[in-house]
Amino acid sequence: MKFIHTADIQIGARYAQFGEKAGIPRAARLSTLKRILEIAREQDADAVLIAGDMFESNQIANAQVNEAFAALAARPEIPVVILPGNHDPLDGPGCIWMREPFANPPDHVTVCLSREPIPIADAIVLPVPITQKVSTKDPSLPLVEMAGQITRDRIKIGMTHGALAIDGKHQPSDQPIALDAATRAKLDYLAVGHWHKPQVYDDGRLAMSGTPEPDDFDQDSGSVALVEISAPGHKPVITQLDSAKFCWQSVTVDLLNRQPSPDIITASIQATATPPDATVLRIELVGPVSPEHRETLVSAIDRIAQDYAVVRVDDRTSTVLSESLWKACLQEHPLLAQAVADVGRARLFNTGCTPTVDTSAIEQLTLDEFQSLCDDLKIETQQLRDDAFEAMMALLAAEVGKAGTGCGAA
Amino acid sequence: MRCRVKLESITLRNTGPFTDGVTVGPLADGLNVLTARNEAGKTTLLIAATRALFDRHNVSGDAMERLRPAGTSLAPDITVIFVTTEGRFKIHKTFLNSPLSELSEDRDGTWHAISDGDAADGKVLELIGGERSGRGASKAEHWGLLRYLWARQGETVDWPAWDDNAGARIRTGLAQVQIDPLVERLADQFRDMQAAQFTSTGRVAKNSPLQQAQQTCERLASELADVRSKMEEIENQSQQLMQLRDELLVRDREKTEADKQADALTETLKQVELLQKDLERFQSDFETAQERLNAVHNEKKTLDEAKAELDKAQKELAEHQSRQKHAQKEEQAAGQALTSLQNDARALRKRIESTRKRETRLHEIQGLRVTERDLETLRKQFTTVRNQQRNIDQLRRKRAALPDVSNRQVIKLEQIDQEIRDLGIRAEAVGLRVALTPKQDVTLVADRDDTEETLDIATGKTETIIATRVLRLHLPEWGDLQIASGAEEAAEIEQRIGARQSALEAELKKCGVTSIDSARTILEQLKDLDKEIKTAETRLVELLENRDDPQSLAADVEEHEAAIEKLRAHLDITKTETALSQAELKAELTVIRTALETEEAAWATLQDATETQSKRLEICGATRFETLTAVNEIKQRIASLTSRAATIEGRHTEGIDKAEESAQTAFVEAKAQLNVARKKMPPDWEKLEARHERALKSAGQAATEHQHLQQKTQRLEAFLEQSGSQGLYSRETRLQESLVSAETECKRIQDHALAARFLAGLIDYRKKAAVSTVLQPLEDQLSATFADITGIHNRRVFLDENLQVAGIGRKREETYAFDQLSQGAREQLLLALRAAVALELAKTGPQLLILDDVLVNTDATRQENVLDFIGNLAQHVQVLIVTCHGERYRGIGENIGIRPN
Repeated sequence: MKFIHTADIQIGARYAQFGEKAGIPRAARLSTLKRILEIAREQDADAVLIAGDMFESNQIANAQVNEAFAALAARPEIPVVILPGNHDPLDGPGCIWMREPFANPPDHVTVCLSREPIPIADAIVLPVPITQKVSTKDPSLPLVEMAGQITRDRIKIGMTHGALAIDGKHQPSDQPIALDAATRAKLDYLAVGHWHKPQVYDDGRLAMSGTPEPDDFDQDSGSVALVEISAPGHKPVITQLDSAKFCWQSVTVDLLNRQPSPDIITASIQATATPPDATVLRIELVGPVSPEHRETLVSAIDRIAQDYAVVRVDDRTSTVLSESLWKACLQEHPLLAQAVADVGRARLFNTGCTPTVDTSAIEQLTLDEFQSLCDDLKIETQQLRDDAFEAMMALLAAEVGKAGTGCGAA
Repeated sequence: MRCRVKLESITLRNTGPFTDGVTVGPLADGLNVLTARNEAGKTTLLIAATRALFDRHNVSGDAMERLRPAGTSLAPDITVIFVTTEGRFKIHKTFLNSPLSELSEDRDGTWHAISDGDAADGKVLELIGGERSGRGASKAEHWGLLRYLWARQGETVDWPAWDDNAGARIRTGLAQVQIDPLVERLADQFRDMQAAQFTSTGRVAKNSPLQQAQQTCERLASELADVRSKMEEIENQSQQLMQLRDELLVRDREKTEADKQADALTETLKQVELLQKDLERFQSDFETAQERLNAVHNEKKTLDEAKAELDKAQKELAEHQSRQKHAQKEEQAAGQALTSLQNDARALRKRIESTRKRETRLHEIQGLRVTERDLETLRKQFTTVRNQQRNIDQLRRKRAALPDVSNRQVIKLEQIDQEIRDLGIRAEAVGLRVALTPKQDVTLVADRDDTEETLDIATGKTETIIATRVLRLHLPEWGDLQIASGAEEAAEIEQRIGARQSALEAELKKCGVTSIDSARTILEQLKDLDKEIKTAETRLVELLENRDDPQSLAADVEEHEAAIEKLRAHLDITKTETALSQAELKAELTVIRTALETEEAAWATLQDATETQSKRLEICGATRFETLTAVNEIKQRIASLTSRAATIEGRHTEGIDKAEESAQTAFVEAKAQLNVARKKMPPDWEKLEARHERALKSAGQAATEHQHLQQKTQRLEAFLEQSGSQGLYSRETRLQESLVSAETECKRIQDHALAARFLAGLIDYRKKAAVSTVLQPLEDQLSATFADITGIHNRRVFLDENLQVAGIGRKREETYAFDQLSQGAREQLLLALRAAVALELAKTGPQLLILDDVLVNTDATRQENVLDFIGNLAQHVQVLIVTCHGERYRGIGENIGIRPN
């Protein structure tokens, strides 16, 4: 018996962190389903077992459901067993499995609407579908009785969905599955879904396949398990096969004591081998950046973003003035320098960030003055978040930069 | 900076009122006072000097025409000598007819022409810091610093705006307020940025990008909440469906159970119905046997009781018949005794009535005699009353005959008489009267008509000493003093006596008497008569005894006489009765009354006896009737009992005991059969029917509830089936993703707008702080000068960033605005400001300050202060005061006049 064990495809998943670009990673999950079927064909698998959470929710749009169904229907040579999970539980007539088109699937697609054993090749698949989103019960318990009714000459494969009962790693209501659930039920293999990172327990008989498509940065996932069981009682051979469309990569670019340039960013990204158009990239910018370099940085990132599937920039830099620029500003535009210093002080009062330039030679804005100024301007001090101060610094620093250049030229 | 100038002299010809040449000057370096009457041409002189300094020589127009002497076509000719930092210069200009401009410079005491024509005009402007005017004559704004330092008569007291180049130079020079143009531009840029998002009050501006972004966020959040609400509802419905399904299973089981129970009870009920029929039959047999047994028992008991009662009744009959006979005898005896008593009573009654009549007659006779006695008494009383009435009438007549002298009149007569006598005594005593009032206590001897008397007179007290003829006073430590009598007083007293005597006589006549004694006598008589009349009247009242008058007494007499007459006619008294004395009458009456009492007592006793006997007779009758009734009743009872016993014995011919035994046997057998039937019935069989009904009802309810739940479940399933296909999660996902983007954008806009608003405000704040810092020295100087002039040192002058007077007060926030100040204060304040400007300018070169009668509203005290201040000012600045009030500036500075050439 050779089959593909996967779970948590979560078609229709949400990626709010990407805003308007969320559609790209979402669409990828449907592509991944097709990719899994392709892998099954390549591996000549007897079946594909989807151990729960094929869909993100029972209430995703019909278009996505229909598309997924079409993908399955397009591969009639590959038997597919679908187990409802906690995201798409078998909880009533409104669930995906009770509605069209899955209410009447083609012969090669089996939706586990009950615990009825399903014969596949020389094995019997014993499913325990999930009927509610949360439960403190171990869904693998019925497998003991179910497996007891199967003759010993058949390979017994259990299927269910829930967290692994590892202390401190699961919620009590997360349908915890005992780590020896396969042995306890005398199963040859127990296919489990829920956690997105692949892992194996119970002497290689209980496996969490992990999600076939990553949905977070630095998540060790994006594969399916190819499982081979030669005969009843024999130990399964599990091989993880890549299935992901996108590689999620996060790079941190620290600008401290560095001149921002496209090279800095590309150098950081090159650590991964995935092509840019198959990468969801997060660029985290930290450290100080001078006004004269910020523009360079922004245009460099814009250029890079064109090549990558999705790019998200977390800009945590702070605008600073170089010492020479600051001195020139102090000398030529004392009032502007005073404003820069005042913004630094106000930022200190409101956010605790210390000023990045030495303002000791300038009159210090007092807390009372800051409060009074805000009152006069009808601004609540808590409205002034760090981003607002950063915007102030950027506005001022840009002008200081221009003026500083002018001074230098003079 | 070429803006410093000092005037040395002004020379005019053919200008204004000065057709002939006049010169003003030389002006001193310090204070100069140009005094001249009104219309003397002082202001014209100054205007002419400014024309020479600031106007092109070939300019024309109304302003220049006004320089000509009135009604002439003479060309104004003006020469001004002035000193700048560049040196000493002389400008000579002729306007209008033959324009001319010549500029000379003093070199080692000799004038050297350095330029002429337009060049000379331009050079002068350069030297004194003026500005070239357009086509016409120059205006104040072209006069450079002189615009600010020439306080012109008749102009408003407002300080000119610093809106020209000279003003800007002064601002820069004085306050050194330099706002960085870069910062100004930035501030404008920030203001524009924030104004695009916020209103002036800090609210989000309508239709601004920020508002649009916020509205987008709100719309998305609202839609998201709506979708989530629907999802939550689906979730709830889903939960409800799960519960319903569980409940449906339970109901299903309950329904099956209820049906089973109802069926079992139906079967049991059928069996019970058959058994119940047997039971009812045995029950009926048992009840019949029981009734039969009870009937025989009762009849036996009734027969025994009837026989016992028959014996008892016969005994009672005999006893009552005996009592009946005895009662008849008693009744006869009582009737005879009652008849005897009634006869005795009738005889006694007749006797009592006879005795009572006799007693009444004697009593009336006795009353007649009492009435006769009363009549006699009344007659006597009437006689006495009549006599008393006559006596009173007599006394009254006697009193009426006497004069009517009252006690008051007698007293008055006596008073007049006493007065006459007193006056007589005084007339006799009239002679000497001396009044002494010593200054200290004194004792003296008075000899009055040869009678000596020692008198002690206290200090300050007046002692009057009178003597008829001669009075001698022996005064200690002085000697004797003799005083003779006076006749006038005697004559006066005589006159008064005469008058009083006439009054006495008139009063006597009025009283109807001849003398006072006679009046007194008559008065006594009157009093006695009044007393007697009063006593007689009192006696009369007593005699009348509560009657109003004697006529009432007479009526009483007549009434008694009539009553006696009537009684006599009624009684028709016999001679024997008439012969009876009062005592005899009384004694006979007593005897009769005693006899009457005895008879009445006997009558009462007889009545009691009769009543007792009557009651006895009644009791005997009742007893007889009672015994007769009882006898009859007992006879009836005996008959009834005899009949009843015969009936019972007739029904049971075999005998009552045997009949009872037979009924007992039948009862025991029926009871045994009933017990056997009862044991065959199931337990609580009586309740089975109710239970069966209940079970049927329960099964029906279970079926209804099951059906209801089933329908509800089907509805929910239909709802969920329909809801599931709405794709709400996907909609929520898209909305949330859009919301995140919108919120990020909204936050970005808001942060940038807030940043711009804060920065614009911050720059304004720092700019004001900078201005305030550099303005402070000027404000210090200005405040000190103003305080010197006004004498008020506890207030300060504040300037705004445009170097305008912001106000006066103790604090910048609490000032009086310039407009609120008096005209005088405004003049003085502007003088102080001009002085401050001039002093500042004088630090780098010669400087002129012209004051053209500008302090007309200043009072004398402040005028002195102004003079002190100007005196000090003139040590640094050339001051030219032009005035028609020379007396105000007397004693200070150089007094210059308009000197003819």
